[in-house]
Formats: sequence, C-alpha cells, structure tokens
Amino acid sequence: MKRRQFVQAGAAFGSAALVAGCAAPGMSRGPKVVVIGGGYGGATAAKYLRMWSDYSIDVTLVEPNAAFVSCPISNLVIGGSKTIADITTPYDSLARRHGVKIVRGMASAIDAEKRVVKLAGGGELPYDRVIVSPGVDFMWETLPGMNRPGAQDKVLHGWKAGPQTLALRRQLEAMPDGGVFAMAIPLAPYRCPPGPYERACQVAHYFSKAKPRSKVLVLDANDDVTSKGPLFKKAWTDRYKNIVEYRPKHKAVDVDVATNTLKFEFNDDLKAAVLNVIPNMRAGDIAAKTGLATANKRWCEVDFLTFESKAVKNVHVLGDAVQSAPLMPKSAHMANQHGKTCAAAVIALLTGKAANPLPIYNNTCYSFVSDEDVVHVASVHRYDADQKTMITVPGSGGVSTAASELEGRYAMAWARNIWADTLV
Amino acid sequence: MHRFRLTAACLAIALPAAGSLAQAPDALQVRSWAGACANCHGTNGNALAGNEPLAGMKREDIVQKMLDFKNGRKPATVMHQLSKGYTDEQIAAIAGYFAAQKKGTP
Amino acid sequence: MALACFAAGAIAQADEARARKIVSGVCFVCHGAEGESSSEQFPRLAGQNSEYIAKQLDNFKTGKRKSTAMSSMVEKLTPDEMTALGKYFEKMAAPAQPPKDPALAAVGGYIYEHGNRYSGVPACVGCHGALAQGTAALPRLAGQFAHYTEAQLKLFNKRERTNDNAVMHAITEKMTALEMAAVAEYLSGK
Repeated sequence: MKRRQFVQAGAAFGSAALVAGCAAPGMSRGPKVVVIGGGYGGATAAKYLRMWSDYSIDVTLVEPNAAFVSCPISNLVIGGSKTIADITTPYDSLARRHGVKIVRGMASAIDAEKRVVKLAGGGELPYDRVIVSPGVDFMWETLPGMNRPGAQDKVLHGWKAGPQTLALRRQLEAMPDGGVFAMAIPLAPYRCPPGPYERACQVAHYFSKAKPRSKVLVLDANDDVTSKGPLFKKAWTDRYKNIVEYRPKHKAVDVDVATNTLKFEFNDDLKAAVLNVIPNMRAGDIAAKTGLATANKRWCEVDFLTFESKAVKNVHVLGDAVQSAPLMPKSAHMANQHGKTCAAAVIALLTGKAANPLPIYNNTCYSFVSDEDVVHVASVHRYDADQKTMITVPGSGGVSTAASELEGRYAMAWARNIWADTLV
Repeated sequence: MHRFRLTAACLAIALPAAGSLAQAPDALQVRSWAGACANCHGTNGNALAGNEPLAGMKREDIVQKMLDFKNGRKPATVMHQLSKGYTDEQIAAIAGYFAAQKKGTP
Repeated sequence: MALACFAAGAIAQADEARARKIVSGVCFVCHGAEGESSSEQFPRLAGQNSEYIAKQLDNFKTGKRKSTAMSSMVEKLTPDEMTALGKYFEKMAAPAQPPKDPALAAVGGYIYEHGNRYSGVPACVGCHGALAQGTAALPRLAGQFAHYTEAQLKLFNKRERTNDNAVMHAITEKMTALEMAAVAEYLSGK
C-alpha cells in the first residue's frame, strides 16, 4: 500500500483546507478509505466508517464545497419562510469529533488498478476502498439552448442547494406581480421525485401572500405527478386554486434563454417571467469518467449488500448516482441509509468478513405544501436474496391521509436529526 | 497500536430466503438495522428536539410502543407505516440495541 | 354594555377559531379533532376542565411536566392559546361508555368513595368530587380511558409524573396494583 503525504496537495489548490483530526496515535496504519462527495451519502459514510470501526479506519473525504447546504428544506428558502443559514451545516464536526480528514477539492479520476484517487489540481489519495457519492450532474446536451454562454446563470435549476437557491429566490422577488413562474420537470428517474411539486407549493404560497395575480405553471414531462400525486393536487386545489396550473406530458426539449421561452416536444412554446428548468440528470461526472455508470450510461449498478460497483472492484457508489432498486427513491434520506449500509459492509470486507446479508432500511420523505403544513411518504426496504436487490416490505409504508401542521413539526425534527446524523 | 477489530459475531449465516432469518440476528446486523432509525431519532437514538429519543429507553417500552404502532393500537403519522416493515423479532432486537445506548448529546 | 358583550362574544369566537385551527393542525392525530381521542394511549380531553388543561400545557412547555411527546407539541403555544384550547376542549361532550369490566369497576367504585382505611388510601371523592368531575384546578376523571388513568396513577406512585405530585404521590404511594386498575376502570365508565 502506497503512503503519500497529501498535505502538499492541500497547498496545490489555493484555498483548499486540509483538516486533519486524528483520534488516536497510530491511526494511519489502519486501512484507508477515500470518500468522494460530502453530501448525504458521502458524509454519512465517512462518519459511520469512523464510528463503527472504533476509529481505526483512515477516512478521507473529498468535497469541493466549504459547507453543506441541504436540498431538503431549500424549497422553503425559495418560498421565503427559511433562510440559507437554516439549511447550512459546516463540515468541521466530521473532522473534530470523528477524525475524518477533509480535502477541499474535487476528484478528477480514479485509478482502479493503482488504487488511487486523483485530485483536480494535483495530488493523489491512495485507497483500499473508495466510496463515490457524487450526486447528479445535468444532461445539458438535451437542452441545446442551455449550452450558450451565460444561459445557465440566467435560467436556473436550483437542483443543487447553495447559490442557485438564493439566486432563484431573488428572481422571484424581482418578478412583478402578474408574472408567470414556469417550472419544467424532466422524465423520471430524477433526484427527489416530489421536489418540484413541493417547489410549486412554496412559490404559490409566496405568490398568494405577496403577488396574488401571479401564476405557477408546472410543466411536467411525466404523465402524472410522480410522488404523492393526490396530496399535491389537493393542496393546489384547496390552497392555490387560481395560482397553480399543472400540465403533464409536457417534455421540454429546448430553452430560448434570450426570450425566456420553453420549447416542448409536442406542445406550443411557452414564455414566462421566471423559468426554472430542471434538466434530465445522471450520476455525477466522476462516475461517468470512471466507467461506473453502467445503466444507460446514466446510473451506476451496484451490489445492494455492499454498494460495490458491478463494473469496478473496490469502488462503491451511493445515493442518487445509483441505479435504483424497485420503488427506491432518489432521496437524501435514502442516500444517508446507503451511507450507513455501505460503511458497515466496507468495514466487514476490510476484515475479510461477509457483509450483513439482510440490510433493512427505510425512506421517510416530507414535503411542505405550505410554510407549515406537510405530507409524507414512507417505505421500508429489505434485501431479497432471490431477486438480489432491495424490495419494499409488503404491507409497510404509505402516505399521509392529509397535510397537517403536526407533520410539519415532524418534518423539521427530521431535518434537524438527519443533519446531525450526517454531519455532526 | 490500534488494532482493527470488530465485536465478534457469527457472520456465517446462510443467506436467508425471502427475508426470514434462519437464526438470531448478530450484533453488527442489529446495529445496522438500528442505524436506519437515526435519520429521525438521532445517531444512536439520541434525538434532537421534536422526536422521541430512544437511547437508554427500556427495551420493553420500545417493543410495546412498536407493537402498538404495528397493530394499530397507537395512532401515528408515520410509525405505523414503518413498524410494519419489521418482524416482531427484528423489533425486539433493535429495541435491545437502543436500550443499551448511552443517553446524551448525539 | 351591549358593545362590551358583543366584543366579548367576538373575542370568544376568535379564541375558539384559533383553538380549532391548532387542534385540527396538530392535536387531532392523537387527541381527536374534538378531544375524544383516537386511542386509549392518549388521554381524552373532551369535557376536561379548561384551567386544568391550560395548566398542563404550560407545565409541558416549561418542562415541569416531562413528556418527550408533548414538549415539542406545545413549544409554540402562547398563554392565550393555552387558555383557548382549554376552553375549546371543555365544551366538547365527554363521551360516556360503560366499563369493560363491571366487577373490577365495582371494586374501584368502593375505593373511589371510601378509600382503603386498612392501608391508608384516602377516598378520591374528597378532592375529585362525587361525579369525578374535579374542580377548576383538579382534573375531571370521569370518562377517561382506564389505560391512561391507570398509567398516571403508576407514574404518580413512582414519582415519574413530575407535576401535581405533592398530593398525588402521597395518595398513590399506598395504592396496590389492583386498586389502581380498579379505580381507573370505575372512572372510565362514569
């Protein structure tokens, strides 16, 4: 196993910070795991690899952002009832409390033979196992107009929380009353099935208070609402009747950014004051570059007992980037569950043991239909040895009977707890 | 020197058919199952405000509550849906794990 | 005068509307939309004394009465809202039903009215009244789920119920398990 000093790599990319926090001496003699991506999947995996190995595995987390900004609850920042600070958590607790080494930067390549992760900007991280949790990247080639200079700064997706969240909020604040907010939703599968519909509710809620003559147009490439359909439709009818209009089977194929016009496969062009285009997406770039994206070149097939890639040995993939099991949503909650399952499996594998043959975990997904009222969908997933995948447990799971403020309380409790579980 | 160790347990379990377990779950498996609850109930069951902390709760109390959720005796917003994803034995094992956790900041 | 009455009426209506909004948004899942309660695990609030409810809500908020379930439910309530909620539930009809175990209830009835002079348990009737309707400060016990009443008696006995404990602990200290179950059964059918 190669040992390299990667402190120098920290100096190579300017403002990068290498925060080393070792819990005990002799730490570097343990096996090394590199985690690419400090999102819900990667950060959780990093923390649990340390915790569950009694702090004996050397874990390095590669992440470009200075702090973690959560996509869940970000729609409320867009709607105006929460601030960006409310959804931001620093990374330093992972280093301080758990001794995760954090490298601020991006992985540019994985050399699976030499077992090193190459960093953009120079430097290499050797690994025994690498966990890739890169989230999604957008298939801009499917919207030619979005590749023109400046297009992506003007027409926002807001599908990676952070500056775009704030920028989209500013666009809505600047929009005169009576304007139209048009949101284009791609064909499933995409990150966070209910996310767009929750956003429609948040913008409509904002409009109902501040710009009552304005409209929210939901242009959905899918045949119907992809998650909690009846509950969202009821919210739109009961609460935002003259504001929200839902149009299914509207597949956006291009954007004229100069005129803020959406172009569809079969429908007439649509011009709007504020466009929110959520593009088709696939596994994060590093997955494609490393030959991990085996399903339609978009998603990474994995062994659900260990999350090891079916294509590349010693490489594990988590979260949205994974080719989902049946009925397994691409959600933050799910990525966190992947992180823990994978951490346990990697620990087992590194000691020559078999991974847990029966992983069981759940998804609980809350959507805000106003600033306070919430609906949820829940599911329990367990491994099925015959089908060799995760299946939903018959008889379990379900949705809310109706939206309620009570569920809104639980939703915020969920947020507090998952942020702590992932990052603290 | 830190020895890389695992709390030992028999991991040589035959792959279970259709989700049923041939023998009692081992400690690491239960730890993983319990880990799935942390998203709402906090790491090791030390929940932040708004959800019930599970760390250090009496095993029988957790089991009773989960069974009450599962059979509809205790109305809930989501726990009745989640509890039905587990067998009674799995619930008992997970409850035992949380009972053994230390109460404190997560 | 008429204006004051009108104003008072308008305020009362506003309070009730506010209470109804809170109940239908948060309390209903466990306590029912009208306080009738969806399960014996959660106390019936319909017909309960308004000041007692307001006090319990305040005690939950300050932590004087410990409850992981209730503390997060009340954290945003103002004193006015607590009063309004108390009045809202007090007005609801307390559902009546006969006890499931009449023989046990009969034992409970004896203890409720006479106490147990052999062991020193005072009669509940002395404070909670012949009809078990309590007073402004004391809870109505009539019609409450046996399971819930019994649970509270046990908590008083072990000092795990942290408010209202001074008197109730002394009383329940001497109660046997049978007496607690019997009294709870009796009250559920009153």
